[in-house]
Amino acid sequence: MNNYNRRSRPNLRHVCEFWTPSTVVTASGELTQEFSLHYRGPFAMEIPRSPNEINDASRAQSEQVFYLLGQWCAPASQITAGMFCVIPHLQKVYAVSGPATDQWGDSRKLKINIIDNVAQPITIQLIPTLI
Amino acid sequence: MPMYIDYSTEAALSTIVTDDFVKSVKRNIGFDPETPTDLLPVDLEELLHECLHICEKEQWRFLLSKSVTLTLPYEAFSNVDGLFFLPFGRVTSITTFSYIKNDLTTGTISSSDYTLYPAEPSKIWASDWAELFADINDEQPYPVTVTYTTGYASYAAIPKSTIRALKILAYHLFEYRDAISEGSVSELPQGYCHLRDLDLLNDHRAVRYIVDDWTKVSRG
Repeated sequence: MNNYNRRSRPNLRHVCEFWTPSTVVTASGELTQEFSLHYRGPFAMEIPRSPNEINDASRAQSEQVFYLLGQWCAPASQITAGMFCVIPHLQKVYAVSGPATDQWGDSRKLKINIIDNVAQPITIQLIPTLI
Repeated sequence: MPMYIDYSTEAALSTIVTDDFVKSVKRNIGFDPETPTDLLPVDLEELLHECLHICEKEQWRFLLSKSVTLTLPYEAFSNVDGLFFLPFGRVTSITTFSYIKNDLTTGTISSSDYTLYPAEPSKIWASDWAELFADINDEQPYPVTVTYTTGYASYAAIPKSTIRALKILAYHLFEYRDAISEGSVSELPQGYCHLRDLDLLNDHRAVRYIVDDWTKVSRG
């Protein structure tokens, strides 16, 4: 297990930034994508389980989804699919795969699903220091 | 013992709650310190104000500066050493010091007649109180009235252990903000109780005349 697995380090938090993309028409008529920061906060991350961790023989495929667990907050609860999650100190960009859910229904904790499938150009745009 | 704490004279929260303190509290309750305060699920200033009041009640010491009025029996000034201990922490100034005379008019003790020792526990001293209170009406239960201001002047003046206690308490009240029980803070975290008690006003002469009115320290 690596350090990023919440199950081995439940108190580890990553500062995550959530960026909203928007398509902007430039003066020359080109379409460009711009990003605006929606929310930033500390989140615990659970990495996908590998097949031998899943106690279900019918699920041969390993999971793809990372979970972020964090403090509930109005803007954080508005995070939806299509946004991008940047974890600056990991130099990593994830795609948000669904709306932030308050599974416990108490406006305290939030669960956000993210997937590690972001194309290189977007990653480079969101993390200029990557290259 | 009749005692009146004038919360309307309480100093603004911003006198001791600095931006850095608010940021560290935000980090402590699980938010990015740069998160705007109005986006948080609770009113953070209100929460800190509650914490300060709870801590004040339990430390018997004021954090936010405010004015206190004590009405005292004549016996309070009959100690052999001529000292009277003032509760609630370091005294910055004595506003009024008066007593009821035999003819039921009010007499005033001038500040030149006694000495104020502001270091904690704050005390006032006069060589002969009996001479100052010569015409006091000692049939009344509480003829002497003292009004004074106590509290910390700035964030830097507050002991660090109290700051830490406040942060723990803020986290606790934030985390269990919807807990419903008989007393709102009947059970408090141990770390808070320990750190708070490090700065407890535990001078028995200072608390002697307020002990009946003031909340007992919960050892929860």
